[in-house]
This record gives sequence, C-alpha cells and structure tokens, in this order.
Amino acid sequence: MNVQDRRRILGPAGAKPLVFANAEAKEDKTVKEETQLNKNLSISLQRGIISNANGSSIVETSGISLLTSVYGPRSTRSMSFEPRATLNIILQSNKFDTSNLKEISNFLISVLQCCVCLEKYPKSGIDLFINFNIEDEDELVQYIPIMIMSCMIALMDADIEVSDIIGGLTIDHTAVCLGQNGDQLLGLWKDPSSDEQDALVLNETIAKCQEQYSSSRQQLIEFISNC
Amino acid sequence: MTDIVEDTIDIHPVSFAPEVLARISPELSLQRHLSLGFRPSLKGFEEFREVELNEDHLSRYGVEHKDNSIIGSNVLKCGKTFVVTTITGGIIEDSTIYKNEENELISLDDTKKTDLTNYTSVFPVVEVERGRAGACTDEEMTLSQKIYDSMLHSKLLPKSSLKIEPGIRITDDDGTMEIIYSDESKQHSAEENSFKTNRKWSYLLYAKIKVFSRTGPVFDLCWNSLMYALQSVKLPRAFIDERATDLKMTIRTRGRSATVKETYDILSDSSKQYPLNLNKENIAFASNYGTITLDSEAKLTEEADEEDIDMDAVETILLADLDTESEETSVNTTLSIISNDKGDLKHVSILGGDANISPDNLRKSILLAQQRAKDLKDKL
Amino acid sequence: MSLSIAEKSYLFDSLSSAQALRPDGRLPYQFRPIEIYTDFLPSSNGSSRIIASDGSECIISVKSKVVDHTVEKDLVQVDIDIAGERDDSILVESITSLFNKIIDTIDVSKLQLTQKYSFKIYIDVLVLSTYSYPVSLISFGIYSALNSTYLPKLISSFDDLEVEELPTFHDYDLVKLDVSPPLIFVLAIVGDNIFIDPAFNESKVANNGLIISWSQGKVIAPVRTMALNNTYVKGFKPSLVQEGIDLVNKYGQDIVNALV
Repeated sequence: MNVQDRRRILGPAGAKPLVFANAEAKEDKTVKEETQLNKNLSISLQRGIISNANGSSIVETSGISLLTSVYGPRSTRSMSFEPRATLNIILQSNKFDTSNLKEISNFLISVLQCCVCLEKYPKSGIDLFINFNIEDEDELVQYIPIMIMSCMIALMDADIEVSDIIGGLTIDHTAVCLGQNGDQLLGLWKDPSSDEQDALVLNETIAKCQEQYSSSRQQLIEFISNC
Repeated sequence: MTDIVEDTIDIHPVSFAPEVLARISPELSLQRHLSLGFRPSLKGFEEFREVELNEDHLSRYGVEHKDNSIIGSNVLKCGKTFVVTTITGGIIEDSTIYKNEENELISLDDTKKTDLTNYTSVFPVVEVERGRAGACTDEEMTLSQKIYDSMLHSKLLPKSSLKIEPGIRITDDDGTMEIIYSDESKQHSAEENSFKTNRKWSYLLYAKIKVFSRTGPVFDLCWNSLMYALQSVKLPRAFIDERATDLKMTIRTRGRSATVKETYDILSDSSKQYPLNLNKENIAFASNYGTITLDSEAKLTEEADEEDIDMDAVETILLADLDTESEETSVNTTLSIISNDKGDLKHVSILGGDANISPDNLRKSILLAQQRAKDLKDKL
Repeated sequence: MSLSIAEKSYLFDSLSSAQALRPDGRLPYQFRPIEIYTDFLPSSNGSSRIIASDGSECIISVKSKVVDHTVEKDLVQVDIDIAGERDDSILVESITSLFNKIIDTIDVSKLQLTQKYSFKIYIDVLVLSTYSYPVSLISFGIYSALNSTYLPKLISSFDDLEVEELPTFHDYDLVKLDVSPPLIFVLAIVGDNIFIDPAFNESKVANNGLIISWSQGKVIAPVRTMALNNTYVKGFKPSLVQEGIDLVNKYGQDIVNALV
C-alpha cells in the first residue's frame, strides 16, 4: 500500500524512526529471565474500567499491560441470517507488525470459539479489542496466556455466556490453551525456536501445561468470585 | 362499529426512571438537573473533574529499563475517561525537512524569538476507542489537526531544541567501542575535527494519543495529556559510526552511471539522553466550557409559591468541563480555551449555538481556564 | 456452497465413529489427487500452477533480485493474494504471516552469491479459487515452484569485500536453485479421529484443525491449531497432537516423493 494516508498527520515522509544501539543487550538477558519466572506470581486484574464498552479488563504483570474491551453482542451489518454470533478479535500494538498480530488474533478466535456460547446470540457480533500498553517480550507467543485471561475477564464483565473457563500457558515458544479441567486441548501454537531438536515431541510440553493449568484457572476463578 | 365504548379512560402520565429519561430526552433531563442546581454528573456548574496522572511509566526512561522506542509518555485519567499518550521519535535530514506553507504566510514581527518558523509541533495521531476498527473518524482527524495547529502556534517547541549534534562511535584496535561527543570531551578534539559534515539532522516527535472510555468531549484531555507527556520526553544522544563518516563510494556499473552513495546510519545512544528543552513559559493547559439557556418550562413545578414565570427573562449559565452524553448533545454553545497559569491565552475557540455568550460568561471562563491551568500545572 | 444441518450431522457421525469413513473413501493419510504444472511463466525464474481435485487452484511465481545481504536481512519473501478476499483480511494476513515464518527455515546460504551480495527471492502466490483452508495447496505450489527455479550463473569472483563491483552473470547459463522448501500439512480433527488434507465437507464438521510443518524428513515448528469452521469448533484430546505429528512424520516423505 503506497497510498499516502491523508487522514492522519504522519509527518514528513523522509524521516526514519529512532534506532537504539543495543550496547547493553547482554545485561538485559539476565534481568528478563528473572521477571519471566515471577510473571505468574504478580499479576494484577481489573475489570469494568471502560464505560463505553460492554465489558473490559486490564491485566498487568511486570512488563506487560493489556487492556481488553468487549463490544457486543451487537447487531451485525450482514444481511443474511446468522444463527450464531460472530466472534472477532482485534489486536492493537505499536511493536508488532499487523500480519503477525492478525495471525495471533485468528488463533485466539479459534480458541475462544470453543468456550463462548455463540449460539445464544444469533444475528450478532462480539468484538474484542486487545490493546497492548506495555510490551516487554519480543515474541507474541509469550502473551497468549495473558491475552486469553484478559479476554475471559472482559467477556464475563460484558455478561456474555461462556461454557468453560479456559486458560493458556507458554513454555519455550509453545503456547498451549486448555479447557475442561485440562482434559481438552483448545489451541496449540508452536513457533520455531533456535534450539531445534531432532524430532518434534509435544506430549511433554502439553503434560507440563496440564499440571500448571489448574493454578492459573484457580486465580481467574478467585478473581471472578470476588467481584 | 358505531358503538363507542363510553367507559372513562384514565390517562396516567408516563414516568421514567432518571437514567431512562436521560436516554430518551437528554435535553429535558439536563434542564431538569440544571434547574435543581447541579448537572447530570452531579457536579456543580463550574466544577471540573479530578485529574489523575500516571507519568511516564511506558517509556524507556520510565521506572524500569525497557527496550522500547517510546521516549516520553503519560497516562491521564479524568473521571471515567483515560488518555494514554506515547511519544516516539524520528530523525530527518534538515535539507529535506518539510516546509510548512502556513509559516510563510504568517510573517510576524522582526524579533526572531517569536517567529513561527522557529517553532515546530509534534505529529499527533489521536485514536478514540469506540469499538470500531477501520478508518479514523472525523472526530479523530479534527482532534489531531487541532492539536497540531495549537501546538505550533503556542510556540512551545522551538526547532533548536530538536537539533542533533551527532557524536562518533570509535572502535579501538581491541574491539571496544567508544562514543565521543564533541561537547563532552575535550581531549578528543583531533578526532572531532576530523569529522565535519555539512549535513544536519533534526529529531521529529510523534505523539500517539489513545482515548479510552470516552464520555464527553476529549480535546482538552488529549491536549493536557500531551503537555505532561512532552515534559517527560528525553531525547537520546545520537551518533554516527566512525566507519560511516568517510563513507563515500562511487559505484560504477559498466561505466555508464556513477552514483555517489553516502550512508550515514544515525544510531541513538541507549545510555545517554537529555531532557527535551521546551519553552516552559508557553506550557498551557486546555479546558472547555459551554453555555446553555435555562428552559423555564422544564423546571419541576413542585414549589408552592409558583409565580408567573417571566418568559422573556433568559438565564444562561456557564458549565465547565462538559461531560456525559446529555451535556454533549444539548449544549451547543461551547468554548475551548488553552491558557497558562498566568492567564496568557494560547487558543480560544467559541462555537456559537443557541445561547448567547455574554461578556460576563466569557470573562468567567477565561478566569476559570487560568485557575484550571494552575491546578493542572501543580500536578506534576 | 453450504451444507444442511442433516448433511453435516451425517458427515460428523461417519467421520467421528470408531471405523471412520471419509466421504470420498480416502484413507486418513491419503491426499486428494493434485495436478501440478511447473515453469509455465516465461518471465519468472520459477513458477508453478497447482490444481486440486475439487477445483481449488493456485499459481505461484518466483522472482529474484540481487541485494546487499548486509543491509537486507530477509532474503525470502512471500506475498499471498486470495481471489475474493481483501488484502488486509484476517485470512490473507494470517496465512502470509505463517508462510513468512516457515520460509525462514530455508537455508539462505544457498542464495549467497558473493561475500556482499545475495539473491533475494520473491514468491508471489495467487489463489484463484479455494474451497477449504488453502495453506497445504499453497505450500505444495511453493515447493514445486522453488524446485523448478533456475537462477543466473555467477561469473564474477566470490570475494568482493575489497573491490567494489557488482556481481556479473553468465548470459545463458542458469543454475538450479537448491533449497529444500518446507511443506505445510493441514489435518482435521473430528471426534477422536484425525485426517490429512480435509476436503470442503470434512472441514465443515471438523472440531479443530492442525497445521503441521514438515521439512527434510521431519516435522518442524511452526505447529498450530486452527478452527476450520465456526460451528463445530471445540477442544480435543491432547494426545491427538502427537498422533497428527506422527502421521505426518510417517507419510510426509511419501507425499513429497509423489510431488517430484
């Protein structure tokens, strides 16, 4: 798309964005690893902050802040009769490119379709907007668990019926989304990692996620029952 | 068909809950509230919403060291609405710098200090979140343009403070890199002189302003948030790699064409930065007002001593900090003022409507704007 | 083309039962017949046209350019266009993103010309018609297009760091591009059963889909799940992922052998 955007004030065309020389890249690594370990411990959840949306949530951990808002169920523009609601997720971030974001949102839609009772809302659309306010990691796959968590809270805040409380976990470039007490796999996302082994075995990773799933689910349930 | 039911029919007045009435007839709801002496949001006529600030948590110079490209930020919360402003930077070579046609038209007095061409503005993109994806709305376009223009004309951001004095990165024989800035080190004057380029660069500032949970007009919130964010901006020192300073190669392709290729990759120092130099006295804050004529008929007539209401006497009142849907739709006469704490006005726009803006109200609003600006300035 | 509730219910029952029966009688690992024509675009370095038995069709062109690889890091770029879909639609963007990720597994050293310059490969995909999730078709097309790609032969010297010269090429001779492009398999999960290469009607009743990448004899990342429709989507037994991977590991090579 080479068409210049005339609707926004984008500044002169010849400008280049700032490029920071990463002199301290090595020091950063160790700090990052530490925060990754603590990520599950310090998580702050909030809901109902956006008054012009049907439901909203903020999920924050150190280095990540996600704001999710739900609009809907509302009428769609489609002329034909749809017996089920259409679910749509839009990710907004300054850091990642759009095709990458759209691939993740496509994945999230697949996962959330498993638990949102879409048949309860015929002829309507449910739109979720996920805004990244702070992002520390370079890989979107790291955010999948938190995105699912914030979507679940926002959906419940909007009083949209869900059949299950689902959760996700990321281990080493692999995100696993589970439901039904961990018995059902709802989504799996594996990105290429640098340490590629000979044969791809995912059973172990999934088993590990199943173990941890109940604690993250418990956290969500506690939050929901407290408010 | 000829039988007419002769039973008397009782007609009950339909009554609505206040929140329902506010949806059906915002105008009436507003008038009812005003006649009781307060506004639908339960504020007084000249009461502002409380502003909460969350300064600079998002930028790389914020609380934790982060590896992002945001160089200044602000989160402003006002009532239910909150505004997230992030400022990023860019670099442009001065020869190709844009010419603002507007600047040439307005030639102010001779003193260089006030000449508009010496000032620049940020490039704002305002996004108001309302659950729609796609092209930006009229409101967003108007807001961005208004912020851009007001910033330029408020002479807040002198071009000189965005100038880049690039340093040089030198790689020693043993592979350690060192960055030398001419204004910092004296002993390297030899190297400093060896690199002289007639090319000049400037920073550009981009502001992304996201408005969440919009409940009323948002221009003043966006502007104020941008003011706070700008004050948190730190510009990184920039440098050019030594190897690139004398890089000028002629590429010959089969003897036909010769192109001179000069690549200066300006990099930003991730450890050294300095605060953006603003014209501090021109930092001003925005507020908005509306005037509305009280509709005497909308008054709740429960008072016993109901006199003949003089239908000709028109009472207009001034409302500060318009909020809620009913005020936004019913108050057609609005004022938007950008003023600093000393009462220097940077921008005033008055949109006429059905109500008259009396000199009295105008004076009052300007005074309020000054007080508000003082309040907001002290928040930092 | 849409299926009635009764048709879907029949399909689901037959596909999810213990003795699963696919509507066209295929085995779980069996592909539908495909037709591939290669090298049909004279102005491209390599091209292919691939037609599936249901009429899905896709054309691929491979073009190349000489770039300075110290500046340009991405040496392979995939661009996908699907007829009837907007460029920024979620389907097109997510497929493009997937392919750009998987194409990174290509060994770019094969594209290096000199110490400074490399070929940059542009793969343009145009999906003319499609009835099911088209990634498998596209990846087979890219595979055959890249395998039929011939690039000009370099005659200037490899070592050009000191001398400033652009690579020069032989006037006629071409060298076959020798990369081993990865493939993507789409698997449908229906109940506890798993099928390679779901047809339109099978996708419509699939509980979930698996996207599995394969390169040089083994399954590699990315691996994804993907909803193939929006009515039957639900969770599945976690062990099915490994079953799917094993299935692709087992039959992947046979399928590739059939392609060339």
